[in-house]
Amino acid sequence: MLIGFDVLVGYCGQLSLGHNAFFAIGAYSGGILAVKYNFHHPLLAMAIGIGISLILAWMIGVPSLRLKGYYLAIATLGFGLIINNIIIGMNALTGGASGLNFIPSFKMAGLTFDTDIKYYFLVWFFVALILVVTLNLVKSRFGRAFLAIQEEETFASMMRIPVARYKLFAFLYSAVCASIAGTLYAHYAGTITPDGFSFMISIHMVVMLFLGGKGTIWGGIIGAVFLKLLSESLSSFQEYEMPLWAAIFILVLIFMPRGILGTLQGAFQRFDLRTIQEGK
Amino acid sequence: MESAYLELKNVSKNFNGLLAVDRLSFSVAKGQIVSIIGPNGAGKTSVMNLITGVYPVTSGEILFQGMRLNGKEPHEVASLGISRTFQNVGLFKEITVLENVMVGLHGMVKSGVFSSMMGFPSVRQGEKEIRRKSLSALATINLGNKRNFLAANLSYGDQKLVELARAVVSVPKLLLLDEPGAGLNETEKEKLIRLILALKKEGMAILLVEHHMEMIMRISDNIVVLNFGHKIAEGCPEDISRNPDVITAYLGVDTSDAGD
Repeated sequence: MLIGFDVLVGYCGQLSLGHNAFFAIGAYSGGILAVKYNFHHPLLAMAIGIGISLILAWMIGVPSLRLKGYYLAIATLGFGLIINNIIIGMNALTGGASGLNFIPSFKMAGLTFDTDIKYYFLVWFFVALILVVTLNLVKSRFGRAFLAIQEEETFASMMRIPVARYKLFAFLYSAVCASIAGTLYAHYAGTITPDGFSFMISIHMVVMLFLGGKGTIWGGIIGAVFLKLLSESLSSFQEYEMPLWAAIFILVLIFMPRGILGTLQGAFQRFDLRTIQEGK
Repeated sequence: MESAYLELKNVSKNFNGLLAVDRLSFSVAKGQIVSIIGPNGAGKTSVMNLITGVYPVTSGEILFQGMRLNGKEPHEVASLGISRTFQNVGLFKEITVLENVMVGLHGMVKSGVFSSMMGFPSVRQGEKEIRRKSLSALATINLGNKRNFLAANLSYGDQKLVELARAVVSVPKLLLLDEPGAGLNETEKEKLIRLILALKKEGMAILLVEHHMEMIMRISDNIVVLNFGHKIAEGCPEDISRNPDVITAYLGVDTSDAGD
């Protein structure tokens, strides 16, 4: 999920605060189809979730991405809250506030992923898939175009880059990744409730990305692992979670504005440069 | 005059009541260098922004090889073979020099998003080609050894050169240069003049906005003089330097003039 998010935020410089919604759409697509309709093709359910996410992302993205600035962040913030309320409201389908239970395990290619270990491999399979695709993407001319858009849209457009279309593509792509993650999560957890897809998820994504290092793709994974470990080990302080995340975010922005990976890369580059100069 | 590449016909631009460009007409032919001069605020950069579609035209017509540019998006205008540089260096500062030039070739290959994601060999081939061309473009401005520097870390003069390289690497038909000589020292300016003349020789049409009169007089085929968005004179360098209206506008005899 964070990998796709990095394409949007780290490369295109567009901030979305509604990715919890796409995560939720993916999860509920998997959950509802399996529990309410006895539909046991999780891959197809995942595709349906992706389809719904794409349509909704397109509807938000087209108007708000034509504008420069933080319009996308505001629009998606509202969207995330709306989707959450819809999930709570549609009792019959979603189980309302108490959520959906007994979502079966993920099945794919004749395999059932019913234990943690098996699931672990399934998740990493998808992560690796998305990682390879995304790395290919950002290393191509499109990655360069995204970086150009982030810096200055006017200059980018003079390089024959259709700015609005590329921003929309990055947004759709990140929504798809979030939706895939949602379906995987639903089948793993077995139970999903609206609480699990609150606005905080979107905030967590932003913090994870900045901590790991935005615009590096790998940074998202590092940030996610790091902060997940941190929050597990600090779970006894749950009521302080919000201020804790806020504090981490502020500290990262002050001391490591390029994140863990960005800072390391910077250190290596400086080292490289020095050895080159000394070599002369 | 042979085939006009770029033609402006009675073009006006109105910014909320301020007439920035007033019924302007002129044309640029293949292999010709046309300069726009005028005091600050005369509307020179606005003309560039109108041609490239950054601002919509209020009235009049802009034609490129007979095709109307009115209402086209900047990326569409660029795709027709029009490149430009910007007044205060339009480089992307947080990526490297080489990457900057490579962005200039974004439209060269047609590889799609999907094949890029899959990393097809055709995509790699295209990337290689872009890289090779970009490196040779950097070599012509003698900046090949600084290709991995972040653009922000180059000297101002080098940044201007890289921006020029990025604009011409795609071999445009028309090149718009917005004050390419500003902030350059004498040596750098000489280098710039040589580069511009070489491009002209290759048949590129060039529209130049500049303040350095000496440079303009040396390289222009035709000069358009603007004052308050209005064309007050047009002609070859000798005529312009003797035109009384131009001298008045530049020396600011009228006290309401902004001067230069």
